[in-house]
Parts: sequence; C-alpha cells; structure tokens
Amino acid sequence: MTAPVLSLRDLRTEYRTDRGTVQAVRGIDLTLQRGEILGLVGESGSGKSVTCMSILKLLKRGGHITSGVAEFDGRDLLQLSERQLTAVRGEKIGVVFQDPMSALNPTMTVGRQIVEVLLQHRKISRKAARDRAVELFELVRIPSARTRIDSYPHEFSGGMRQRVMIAIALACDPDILIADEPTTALDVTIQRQILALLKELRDRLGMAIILVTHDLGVIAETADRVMVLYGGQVMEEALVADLFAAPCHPYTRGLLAAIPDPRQAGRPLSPVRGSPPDMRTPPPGCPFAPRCPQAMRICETPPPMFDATGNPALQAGQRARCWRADATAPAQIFETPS
Amino acid sequence: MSSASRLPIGWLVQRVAMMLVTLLAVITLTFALMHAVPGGPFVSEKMLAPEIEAALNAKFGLDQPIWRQYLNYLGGVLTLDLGPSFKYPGVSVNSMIADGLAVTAQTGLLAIICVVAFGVPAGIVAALNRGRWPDTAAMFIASLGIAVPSYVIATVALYIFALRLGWTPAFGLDDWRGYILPVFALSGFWMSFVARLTRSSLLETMGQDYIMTARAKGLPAHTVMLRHGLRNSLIPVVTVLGPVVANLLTGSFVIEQIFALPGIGRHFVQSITNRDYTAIMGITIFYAAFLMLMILIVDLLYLWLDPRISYGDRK
Ligand SMILES: Nc1ncnc2c1ncn2[C@@H]1O[C@H](COP(=O)(O)OP(=O)(O)OP(=O)(O)O)[C@@H](O)[C@H]1O
Ligand code: SF4
Ligand SMILES: [Mg+2]
Repeated sequence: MTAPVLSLRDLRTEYRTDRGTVQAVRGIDLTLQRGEILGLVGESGSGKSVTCMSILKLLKRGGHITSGVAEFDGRDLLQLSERQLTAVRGEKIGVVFQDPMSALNPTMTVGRQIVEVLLQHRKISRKAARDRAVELFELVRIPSARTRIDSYPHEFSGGMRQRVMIAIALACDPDILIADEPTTALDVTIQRQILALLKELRDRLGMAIILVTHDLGVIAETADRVMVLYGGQVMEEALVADLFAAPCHPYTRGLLAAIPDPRQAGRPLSPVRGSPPDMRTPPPGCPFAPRCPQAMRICETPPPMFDATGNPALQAGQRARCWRADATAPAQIFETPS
Repeated sequence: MSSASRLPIGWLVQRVAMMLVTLLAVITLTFALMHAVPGGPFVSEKMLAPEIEAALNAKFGLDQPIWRQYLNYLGGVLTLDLGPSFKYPGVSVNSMIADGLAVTAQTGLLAIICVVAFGVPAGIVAALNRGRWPDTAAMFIASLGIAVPSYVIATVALYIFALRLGWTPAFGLDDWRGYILPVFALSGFWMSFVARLTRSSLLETMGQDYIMTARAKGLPAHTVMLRHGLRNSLIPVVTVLGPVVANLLTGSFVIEQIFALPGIGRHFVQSITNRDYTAIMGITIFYAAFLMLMILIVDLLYLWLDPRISYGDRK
C-alpha cells in the first residue's frame, strides 16, 4: 500500500462551553488512502463533524484540539499557524458542508464565490478565473453554466447549490475533499445524483474523499471503506463490503439491524435503544456500554482497538473497539454480566 | 447582475405614487386639525379690533369657505409653496423652513457622519475583540450613551466644557467649536445604538455557515471578515440608519433649545406657541415628506445590499 494522503493519530478535540467541557473527539485514528472514499458514520453527536473540521482547524468558538497529529504532505496540519493553514484550506483540502442553503454567501453571486477561491490560491487573471469557474460549473453539471454563474445562491435549488459548493471545493484540484453530510439536506433523488457525482469526480480527478453521513445506505452506495464513530471514538473500521457482511461491533450490528436493506438510502439512524452519552461526562469504559445488549463487567474498562491479527472474527484491515472482538481473552470474562 | 439592472422601475413608480397619496392624507389631516382647534390665529390675550381681525382674515384668505381654503393650500403645497407665516408678516413658511433647515441639516449631517464614522467602526472593533477590554470599554460607553437622555448629556457637556472649562461657546454656531457639543449631544444616543447593533450583528453574521465556508476556502481572516461578514451584518444597521438620518436631519428641538440654535425644531415649537398655523402645517408636511424619502432611500439601499430582496418586477 502506498503512503496514505492523510493520517490522523490520536486526535482529541473538546468544546469548552458555559455548561462544561464537551469531549467531542476522544482519540481518533484515521488513515485516508489516495483516491479512496472513506465514510464516517454514526449517530448525531458521535463526533463526525468535529473530527473532519479538526483536520483543518476549522472549529467554532470554544473548540480546542488538545492532542493529535494530522500528517499531510509531510507536515502536521495541527501544528500549522492560521496563516499557514490558509494555503492548505481550499487549495489542498476542499470542504463541502451539509446545508447548501446556508453555506453560500447570500449576497454574492456564485461566480464570485468560485472566482474568489481561485484568485486566492492561483496566480491567474480575473478573466481566467471566470473561465475556470464556468468549466467547474460544467464539471459539476450545472446547466447553462455561462449564464448561471452570475446568479445569486437563492436563485438555485438545493441540489444545484450543493453542486456549486462542490465546484468551489474542487476549484483548486485538492488532494482531499471533505464532505460533511453533503446530501442530508436534500431529497432522495437529488441525494442520489449528488453521490453519483462525487463518485464520478473521484474517478476522474483522483482525489480522496472523507464522506460524513449518518446513513449507512449512503455508505453502501458510495464509500470504499468506513469508520463507525460513537462517543467521540472509532468503534469499528472496515472495508464497506466487510462491514456489511460481517459486522463485529455490537453498535455496528445495531445500526445494520435497523435498516432491512442497506441499499435503501434515506432515513437517519436511530436504531439502538437508548440515547448517546452526554459527552461532558462520557462513560469511563466502553462508551456504548450503557446501551449495549452484550455488555459485560470488563466493559467498564475502555476496550482497545482489536485488529485481524490472531482474530478470526475480523477481516484483514477490519478493526473493532470491543472486548468481544478479543479472541485471546479467557472465556470466563464473557460470562460475567455487568 | 449589477444592482442597477435590478432596479425595479415599476416598484419605484408605485412607491412614489403611494408616497404622494400618503402625503395628501397628511396634508388633509393637518389642515383639518388646524381648522378644528378652537380659536383663530389672531386670537390672543390682547384682543385685536374686530375690523383689523377681519382685514387679516381677508388677507390670508380665512374669510373664504373652508373647501376653498383647502384647495388653495393644496395647490400651494403642490407647487412647493407652503404659504405665508401668520405670525411674521412678509415671511414665508418656505423661508422659515429653509432658514431653520440650514442650521438643523448642518448639525444633523455632522451628527449622521459621527454615527456612521464612529458607531460602525466601534461596533466592528468591539466584535473583533469580543470579551477583551476594547469590547468591554466600547460597550460600557455605548450603554451609557443609550441610557442617559440626550438633554442630560447636553446639559452636562454644556456645563463642563462651555461654562467650566470654557473650551466651547455656550450657544450659537458662530465658531466651529460651537458645533462640537450639539453634534455630540445629538449623535450620542444613535452612535451608541449603532455601535451595539453593529457589534451584535457582526457577531451573529460571523457565526453563519457561509463564514465557515469562506474560512474553508483558505481566505485570510480579515478577508473573511470584511468581504463576507461585514456586508451581511450591515443589513440591519442600514435598517435603523434610515429613521436615524430622518431623525437627525430634522433635528431635536430639545437640543436646539438647550444650545439656542435657530434650527427647524425651534421654529416648530415657536410656531406652536405662536399659533402660527401655516408654519405648523408646513413643517409637519415637510417632516412627513422627508421621512418618507429617507425610508425610500433605505429600501433602495437594501436592494443593493441584499440580492435576495426583490421588489416585484424582476423576471
Ligand atoms: N460548537 C460547539 N459547541 C459545543 N459543543 C459542540 C459544538 N459542536 C459540536 N459539539 C459537541 O461535540 C460533539 C460531537 O459533535 P459533532 O458535531 O462532531 O457530531 P456529529 O457526529 O457531526 O453529529 P451530527 O450528525 O449531528 O452532525 C457533540 O457532543 C456536540 O454536542
Ligand atoms: S466493549 Fe462491551 S459494552 Fe462495549 S460494545 Fe463491546 S460488549 Fe458492548
Ligand atoms: Mg455533523
């Protein structure tokens, strides 16, 4: 395997609020290969967005990265200054946000919003930037690109706006595209079209994509590999086919059980009984323990990541953070219910 | 699309027509009210001889039937002639307004400049330094400016700077320094108000999703703030600026009184005490027309600031 384009190690991010410190991300490792689509899936609050946004240090007020390394292009992004980061944002790593209604500036034409990113990162004339913007519009299949470029965001439908966002994110040929729930705000048909577009663009341009969703259907349809997040940690990680064929983590199984047909995209996950933990005071052991039907006493101790080595339950490249994935554990630990 | 091509002519025509109708209503109403108050303009403590009063009435057309008087007046207003003053022989209401307006508009304009030139930047600086001392200081002063009435500011300033320290004249505008205190007193409230509004609006705008998009594009912080934040955050500021401009340009009779400025506000108050009916009507109508004009300008500014707004006839 070639070197990953991005490698995130032990990322920890917290939000300091008036009502306490939220431990949003608690030690996430993530590797992204060139050209792959990596899905991040999990319930609301599991830390998907915070993980993505930490990579570019695009945190809202109160957010602090307390530890971790984000290796990209031979550098640790988390050590870069705000100034140095501007050369990475929008140029090497593009971002598409969830709600195309609010993610575009309402008082600026979409053309200017694309031209702006080109002028920021490329030494080209306004005229050339405009031509490139038209090209990008054609790339993301916005009809009558040349005239639509002078319209304002409110003159587009939701799906078209998301295409505009994608065009902006791809303007400088980034190595990585971060798409944080790019289709959640759209209806199902449009959602399909946008996902197909992302896949096609990946095939043509070869960038890697981090695709955030809370919809396993979207993962099945679009991603190559998937990471299941819960309580600010990775619960399970596998190739998409392996995850659907042989889910290991009880949380993953719960998610899968909730959708009869994984190819049925659409509804959000609320599969497992109970609700996610309060991340100001996360459970001391396995974060899923309070909801896990198979919890044991040992689950009060944080489980490590188990991989396929010596573990027949896991495929090569599959990893799970669950005591039950530990094939080497003495049998009696499974017999002590919590 | 440039803002010029977005100018909705049909809407504009409609708006101007509506303004004229409203103005007609204002004229009619003021006319009716003036004629409904008991006592004529020449009734005063020292009784005039009946023949003199009759002569005066004839001179000003008050002996004519009321509908005739109304039509005459209306005709005058339409030709921008607000008639003669009842009180000061040989003085027209037009010239009274023009005289007063010269003074009022001068101080008002300076006050508006202060509001925009100090209020908006103070708000921006406070927002940029949210929670730090420049923010705290600016907002403390702004709270004072809002809480303390302008006549108190005026009186205190007058006492300290004019009477005690003698840095500024106590009344009149003969010297440039004469403008300082009235302009300060006039603009204090709105400056504070605009500073606070700019601050909160900018902070709110900077929390919007498209600001995150702008940052994610790799734009430097100041570009994000100026290009994406400021313009959008100015929309609510412009909303209040319309009435503020009208308010300041038409002056404050209290401030004019305190600093003895011969402005339009003082003329208005004097015409009321003098029962100078045409002056009262004229100034009222002038105020109304002016306010409507300002609101129209604000609506046009909106159109330029916020492309989502459309006033009807766009394709
Ligand atoms: N701006 C913020 N201030 C305070 N806490 C925050 C903020 N943003 C996120 N959090 C907290 O961080 C945790 C992770 O949030 P995150 O937005 O990453 O979830 P998510 O997986 O993206 O969920 P969703 O599906 O709802 O987008 C949550 O507990 C959330 O409450
Ligand atoms: S570690 Fe224990 S509680 Fe956590 S998922 Fe596995 S079995 Fe359930
Ligand atoms: Mg999210």
